[in-house]
Amino acid sequence: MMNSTNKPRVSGVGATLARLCVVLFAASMSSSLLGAGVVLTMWDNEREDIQKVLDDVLDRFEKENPGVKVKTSHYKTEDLRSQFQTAAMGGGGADIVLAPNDFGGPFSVMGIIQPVDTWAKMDRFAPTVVEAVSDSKNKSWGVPISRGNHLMLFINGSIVKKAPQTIEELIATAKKHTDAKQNRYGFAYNLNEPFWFVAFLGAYGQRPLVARAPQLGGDTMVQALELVKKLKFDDKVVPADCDYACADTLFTEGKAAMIINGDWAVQQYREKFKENLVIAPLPKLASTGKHMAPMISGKYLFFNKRVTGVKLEAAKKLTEYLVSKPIQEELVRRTQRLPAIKELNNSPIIAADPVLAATDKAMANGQPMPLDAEMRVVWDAIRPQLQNVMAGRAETKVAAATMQKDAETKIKEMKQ
Amino acid sequence: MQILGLLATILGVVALVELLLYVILYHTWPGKRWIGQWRLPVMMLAPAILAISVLIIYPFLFEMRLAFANLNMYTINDWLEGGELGWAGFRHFIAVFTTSPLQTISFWGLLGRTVIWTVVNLIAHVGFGLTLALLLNKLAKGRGLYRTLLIVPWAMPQVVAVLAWRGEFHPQFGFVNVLLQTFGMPTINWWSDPIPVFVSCCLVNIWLGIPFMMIVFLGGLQSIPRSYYEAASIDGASRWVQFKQITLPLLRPVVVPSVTLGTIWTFNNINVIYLMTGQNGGNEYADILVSAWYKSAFNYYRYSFSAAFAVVIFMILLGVTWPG
Repeated sequence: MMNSTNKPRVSGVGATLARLCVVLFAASMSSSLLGAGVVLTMWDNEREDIQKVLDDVLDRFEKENPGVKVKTSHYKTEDLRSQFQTAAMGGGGADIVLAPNDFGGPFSVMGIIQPVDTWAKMDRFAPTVVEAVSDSKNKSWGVPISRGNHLMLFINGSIVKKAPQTIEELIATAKKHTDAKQNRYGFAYNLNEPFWFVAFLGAYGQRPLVARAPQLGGDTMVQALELVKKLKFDDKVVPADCDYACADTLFTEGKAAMIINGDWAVQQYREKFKENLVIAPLPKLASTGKHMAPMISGKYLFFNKRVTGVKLEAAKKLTEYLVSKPIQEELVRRTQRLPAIKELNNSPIIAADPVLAATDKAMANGQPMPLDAEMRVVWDAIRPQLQNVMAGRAETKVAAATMQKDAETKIKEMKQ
Repeated sequence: MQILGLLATILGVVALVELLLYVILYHTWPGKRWIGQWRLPVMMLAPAILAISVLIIYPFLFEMRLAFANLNMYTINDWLEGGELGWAGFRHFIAVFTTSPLQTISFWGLLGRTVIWTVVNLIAHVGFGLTLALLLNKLAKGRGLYRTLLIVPWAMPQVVAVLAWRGEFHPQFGFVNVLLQTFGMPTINWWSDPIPVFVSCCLVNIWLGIPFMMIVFLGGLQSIPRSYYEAASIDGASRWVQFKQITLPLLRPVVVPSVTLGTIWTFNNINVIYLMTGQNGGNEYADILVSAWYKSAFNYYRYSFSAAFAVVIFMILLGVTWPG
């Protein structure tokens, strides 16, 4: 209990506390008024080597545009998705997100990014990358700065001399180089991951999502599941249980002659295998005459909905800089990714480089990755059933029917 | 700079609140005797109350409101633009119990798995933790060294430890299967067979959780005076009787809070499941309530559903850990 003799001292403490608060409040106000000019924040999910290239380019942009600063933060893919989503819903988040196209689907439906087609002149970009970032109403939600993100066949040229043209040839070639006892395989890929599986599905002419509706049941899905099952159980040309890291390690250690991997691995394999690296399009299926069809997208700049006025103008300036011909050429050279702008389609930089030319050629049979938010459900519906089939736990017919039913149910639930 | 700006803003807001309180408490009612004794305590407690209100009370109330709203990926724009949350009544609470938060597993399946997960982990944490603590307590030499070695799993960043273990459980190249093969036993598909996936998650979490319990119990054991044991020995009490009559009762003040904390932490442990089963999608064979909740919110964007799900999980935890 406080008595009356304490009162003057307590009052003095209160007044001192109040004076301190005045100082703190004034300091906080002055700090928030500091720092004139436009500061753009950009979040990305790039690898370290690509981050360095981007940082160089952004440094030059800042020097050429003294009033604009770009602050970058790097995240893992899933962290970038959830962090931006959460922050943007609360009125925050980065001004610009550099990410693959599938970020655009949920972000556009949620209204946390803004469409770009009013100012971004989308007709200057390769049609596939534009399609991959456009919704069913043809509204584009991101500006591409590279195209690709597609799967290809990487071959260790010191083991396999000629790239297989068909899946049948691939199996025959792989058999020659498989000796499981010696831990050597003709072929490796991420067996249980739907992103790889849909490329096989494409060889039967089926896309997993059409007009926002899942297309996972039916005979073609069953045939595609039978094919991947056969590779593991009958042909035995792939390691029994192999995820991304396993397949990648086997290939880089020379224990797998071929691998299906994405364009993000080009630089790493190129440094490892040098002139022995051969890149080929995914083979076709002789029975259908169709090539395996990898998903195609690219890297895009997405703009936070709250970016307006001077900040938006600065963001547009940065975008124009990144898609300008010299910077696109530099990005191709230094990141080994294909350019987004059509102007560089027949660029000597690509034609003169056998690896880049092969990467470009491998895109030809791809399918643009749907932007729709429902694609996430499709991936998650395929995954457990694919795992069941590859573990020998489910019949392909049952698996196909289940994944279709699961996807339909989950899409319905997402809207409730 | 962003952090400094944030700190400056927080300090500014706190300072403003304190100023307002000062003006109100010291100048608006300067003569009121009843308020005199509360002036300084209120000013001192104000920052903490403000922080708790902003960080805990408001989010909790908002979560409750969200559970009765109609917020998902398709309606969130209406809320962002017009502040419209909608009203769904108890629909999401019913959906929590009648539909799958993931692809196939039901709420009841997840609850059963979560109970098994919590009980198995807790028994192992307490059992091994207590055993190791008793052994360390008996050590005359090298106790510090052993304690340091045994605490490594806890000191190591969980992400690093779990991802390393994920590699060790690789069906073909992982150490665990290599070991099984060496002893002529069949290998196990730790990554995609339903029961082994869950078992591998349990084993990793047990390994991670033992050091905490061991350290807590060791602290408790060292606070028990030696004289009690000496007196019991003189009276002819066996080691088991000493353990039952002295150690266990005197450890109780340490065991109860650590088991309560352990229950909450294990029940809510999303890291191990998330990292062991594959971060992007993965399979649902090891998912427990909280990891399924995370996926329903951030993979499927079902915000109101996940809010209702979170309220249900909160109620379960509240029931389990309710005092008495």
